[in-house]
Amino acid sequence: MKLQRIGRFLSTIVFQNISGLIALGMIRVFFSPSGWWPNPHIYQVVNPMLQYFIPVLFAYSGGRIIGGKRGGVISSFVTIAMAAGNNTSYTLILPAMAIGPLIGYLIAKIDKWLENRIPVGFELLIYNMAAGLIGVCFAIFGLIFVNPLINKGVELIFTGDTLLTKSGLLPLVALIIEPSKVLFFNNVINHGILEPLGIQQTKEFGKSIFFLLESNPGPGFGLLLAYFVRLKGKKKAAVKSSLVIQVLGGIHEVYFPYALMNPWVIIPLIFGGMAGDLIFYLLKAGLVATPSPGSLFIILMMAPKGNFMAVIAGFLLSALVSFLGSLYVLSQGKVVEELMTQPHQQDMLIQPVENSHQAMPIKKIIFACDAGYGSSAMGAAMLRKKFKQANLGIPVNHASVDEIPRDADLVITQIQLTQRASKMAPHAEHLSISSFDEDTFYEDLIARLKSQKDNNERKEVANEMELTEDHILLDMEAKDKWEAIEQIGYALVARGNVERQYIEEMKQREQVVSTYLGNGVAIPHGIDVNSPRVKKPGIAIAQYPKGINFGNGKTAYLLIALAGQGPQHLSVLSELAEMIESRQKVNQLLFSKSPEEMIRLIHDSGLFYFEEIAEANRS
Amino acid sequence: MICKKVAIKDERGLHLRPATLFACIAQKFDADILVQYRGKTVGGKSAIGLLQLEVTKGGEILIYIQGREQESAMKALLEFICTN
Repeated sequence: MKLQRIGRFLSTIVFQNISGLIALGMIRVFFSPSGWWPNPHIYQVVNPMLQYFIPVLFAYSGGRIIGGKRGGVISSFVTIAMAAGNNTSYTLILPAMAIGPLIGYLIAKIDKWLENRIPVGFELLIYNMAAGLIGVCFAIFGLIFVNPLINKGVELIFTGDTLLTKSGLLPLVALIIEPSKVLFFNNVINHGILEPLGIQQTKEFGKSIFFLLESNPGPGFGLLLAYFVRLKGKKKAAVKSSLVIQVLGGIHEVYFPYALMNPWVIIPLIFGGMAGDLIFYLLKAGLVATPSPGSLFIILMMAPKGNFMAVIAGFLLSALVSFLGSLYVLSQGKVVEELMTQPHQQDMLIQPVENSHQAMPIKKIIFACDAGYGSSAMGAAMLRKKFKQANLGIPVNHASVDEIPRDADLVITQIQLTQRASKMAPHAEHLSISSFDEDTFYEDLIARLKSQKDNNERKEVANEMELTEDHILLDMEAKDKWEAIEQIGYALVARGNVERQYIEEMKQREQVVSTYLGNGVAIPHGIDVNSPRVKKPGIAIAQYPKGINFGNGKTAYLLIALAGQGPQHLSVLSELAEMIESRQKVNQLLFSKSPEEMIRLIHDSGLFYFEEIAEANRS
Repeated sequence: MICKKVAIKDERGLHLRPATLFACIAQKFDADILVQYRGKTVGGKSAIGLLQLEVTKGGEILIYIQGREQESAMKALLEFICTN
């Protein structure tokens, strides 16, 4: 878990700065001595960029995330001081990813320590002085003691990965990369590990194979293609859109669910990855910067002149191997048959993680993914489009799982990330999806949000249920439930809501199945919703502090009698159930001392707004 | 975990009586039971929860069951809904 968090943190540092790396990559592709338009005057910017710009950028990002703005500034200061004193050919890119968080952490700690020790009015001065002092100390310390160590370390890592590259064992890393990718570690691996190594290597050789290892869309493409061939009907169309999104859009996440559906396909994925890596290795392919997102377009854009064929060959071969292997696996397994014969099985996609907040209206929806830029942005865009069609005005945003805003009401994540997401935003409701192209998920969600909208309108229907002080019976006693039903029923008769015979209908209903609902509440009502005995809809409430036996060992302390008409019955029941679910609310009702208090309690729970009707009746 | 989709046939939807009976049947089994309708999910062993779904006639609910007696629980619940 710890390692995972560190990896994710490093990948965040790199991910935030991708645009800078791509800009640098373009300069390489176009103007390097072996580029399209060699131009030494422009190309000279590359070296200082690698020496200063990128290490500082990484250190700043890392420092800022942990230690705030001052953490970022001081991290940059220390890094640039160390870079200036570094006269070897290695850049400080890798060390910067450690310096940033370290300095940031120190600043955060010291800020905290100073918090209660600073005289009022001196905060700005002392905080900045302290941070400055840390900067100076670490710059000097780094220059004199750490730089030589770092150089040794970088040299070691570098010889290590050069050895790995040269030895021909490189394709074997597919054994690790492909399975971890499918488990949503793709960003950690690519941006946290491979990319820093690649940047370092690029400085020496002008390009690096490391950039190709994870970002090659070939294996995933082959897998999706195999599903496309095997599946039929609606599912086929879903795979088709995934294919385009994966290979051209570069959002690899879309194929992970398909791999998890039948874990055996991991084997063809690994072989596909190996085949691709082998070709890249044999043909000496490489890229000049990370293609992010891993789209075929960007990969080709980042390929130096003369490397196109090698890159394309690797992509095609890995796709082919993975396609044939997956096709074989799918023809063996039962998964495809199940998928084809039981379309409803797929409805399990939405899985409740927590449902205690269902009653809250949803005002803000967040789509979250690991990095917060790729699949979540796509999911959010899809949902926004569908909301627009459905005329729903709820804002949908996207974020990284670690940065879900606190005021989000509903968070949607891929199933593997939901647990992490619910830790980050415990107050929100969480929904999981296993695939972005699952139409039923969006349809269900829209239907639900629409019903939320309708609910507000339906509340007004419930308003027509009459509840006045005369409808409330405090501190009652009865020998059994039949007598209690008679008493509460009479309150409705007395107010002219129902005819006398309605009490008999209530008893008949009670005989069929007990109307005991739960939490000490029973809801007696007539047997026929469209009973002609109901003259005007109303509700009566009675307290029975000693309890009434409702059979099956259930005791009701609060009776709520309903005289409803037709279709509104169901929504009144639903609203009542919402109130009764809260034990606290039931207790308040049970112990309230006056009819006014009871009405206020019900009013406060936002259920029925009777006042106006009650008033109209009085006058 | 097993899951089935089923439509409510009752003219008046999932009102108090069927909800109570459904919960009653669900309580007898050693299994976790969830019911989902229009994206809202509640526990299947509580009539209070089921009523909040406001399922109208023809509404299709999804029943998820997980646990030792999941098969027999699903069978009993489906039978109840289909005959009611």
